[in-house]
Amino acid sequence: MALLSLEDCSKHFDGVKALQGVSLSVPERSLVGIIGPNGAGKTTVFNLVTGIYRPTSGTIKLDGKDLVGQPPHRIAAAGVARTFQNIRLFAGLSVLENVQTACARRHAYGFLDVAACLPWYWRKERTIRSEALDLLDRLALGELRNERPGNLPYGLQRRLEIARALALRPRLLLLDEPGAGLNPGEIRELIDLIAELAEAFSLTVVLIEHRMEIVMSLCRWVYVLDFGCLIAQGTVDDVRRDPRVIGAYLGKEYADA
Amino acid sequence: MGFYSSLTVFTGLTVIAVMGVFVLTGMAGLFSFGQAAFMAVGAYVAGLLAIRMGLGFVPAVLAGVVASLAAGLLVALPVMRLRRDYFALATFGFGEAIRALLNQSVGITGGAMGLFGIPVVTQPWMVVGAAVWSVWLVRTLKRSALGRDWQALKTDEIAAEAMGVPTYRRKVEAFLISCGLAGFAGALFGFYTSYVDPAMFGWFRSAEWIIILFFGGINSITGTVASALLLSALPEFLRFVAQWRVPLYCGIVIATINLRPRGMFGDWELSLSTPGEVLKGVRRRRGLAQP
Repeated sequence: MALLSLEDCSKHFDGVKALQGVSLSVPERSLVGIIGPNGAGKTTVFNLVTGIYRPTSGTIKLDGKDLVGQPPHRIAAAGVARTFQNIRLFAGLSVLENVQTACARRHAYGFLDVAACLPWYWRKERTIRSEALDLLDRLALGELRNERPGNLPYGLQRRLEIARALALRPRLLLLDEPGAGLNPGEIRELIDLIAELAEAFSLTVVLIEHRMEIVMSLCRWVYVLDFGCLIAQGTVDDVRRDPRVIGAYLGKEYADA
Repeated sequence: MGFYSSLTVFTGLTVIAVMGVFVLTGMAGLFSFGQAAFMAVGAYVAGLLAIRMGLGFVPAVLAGVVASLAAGLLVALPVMRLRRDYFALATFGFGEAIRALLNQSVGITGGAMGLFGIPVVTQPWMVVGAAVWSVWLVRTLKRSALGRDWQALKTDEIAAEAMGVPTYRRKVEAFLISCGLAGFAGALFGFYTSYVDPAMFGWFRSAEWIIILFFGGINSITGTVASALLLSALPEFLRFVAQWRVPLYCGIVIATINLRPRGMFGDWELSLSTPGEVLKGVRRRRGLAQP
């Protein structure tokens, strides 16, 4: 059964039709790619799923439950985590605290618990810390826990963003161009990391990517968007031979040739 | 009311109120130019209950805090949905409105003449105790999940929401804590001076608290406390140049922005391990540290 399904989703910004009647379905524990030229509406799909935008029409379901109209933090709590195309870490917090912020969702406590120093506040805070440290160690970021994210090299910032997303213990992980700005060596590492994490955390992963090597190594199924419309879907090989996809990327004359 | 006693009380009350501003502005990144009005609510409600209904000191102070929380909630619920810049404007408006209300309702509050005859109960040691407690509270909050949520939503609200932070709720909470602490300071203030009038709680006082915060460093409780002690005590000693108070603040603002935009203390916090770290630094410099 599909974990995530979008049915006939559209998003219009006044006159601009960012997404038109897009349907996709992501089976549980699969890795699915979304590709397409710049401005095709790939990130808009993520913004609809995570509740940052509300679709103009259409339905979005996670495991059969409707997500439309829910605030983003509820959707995050329901098991959807994401990373951002332009890395959005919390600059004022340390590496550890960035991950703790997401960990704290599953061990929530409130103002009164803190003000009264209730025992479960300490216990939960300890759990949050140890879970966050485990996760950082797992992603080889443990040594850097007291650094500010801004001091990390780009590749590690990307990895920290993945760590923070995983701290939500999501069922569905949305990765928005995880390979952007990485060198070929880092790309190899990233591919292995995503495959390993998907296995270890029983994740369903949707990733937006321009780098074909990442999509080819990881995704069984690929959706292709162009100008807000779904123009093709299938396995990587099918999609690469599809004349509409070649046309969208390289221009129509190449597709005809 | 000796000089040092009143200096201690006024400085302590500023520390309490500024700790509230630290939560709201320092951690959650929201600017309010109406926080002094919530101090007024605390002072008037506690004072009126004591005068008119003969309520004791502790219940009156509690009632003052509850009243400023209620007033805060009334403001927060509609205003917190606004963008941050509009939030600053709206709180400014609400603050001045509360002050106008106190001025106009002469029959209850005494209007611009002020409210007389609040029993003098507050002692300097109480204020020092309350200030220490409020610093402890805010320090604990900063290290808790709430503190992390506030700092996260300050840098990036969309990312914070995507990581499950209920941003609207957290912002309302930050505002209420700030209002509660301002109301607490106000209630203690009334019971010390025995007289309050609306002019004491204008927007300038709110702005002064924000200046104190920025001078000390918006990310540092240590810096904020140090700056509160310095900036609220200094003008008392410089009474003979009282007319220079406003230019002094303006100078501080300009100097802070240009010379130390992150405040005197930046992100630095005093902690129990600080003496150890200093010692380690000294050893390293002398080449004594073990690898």
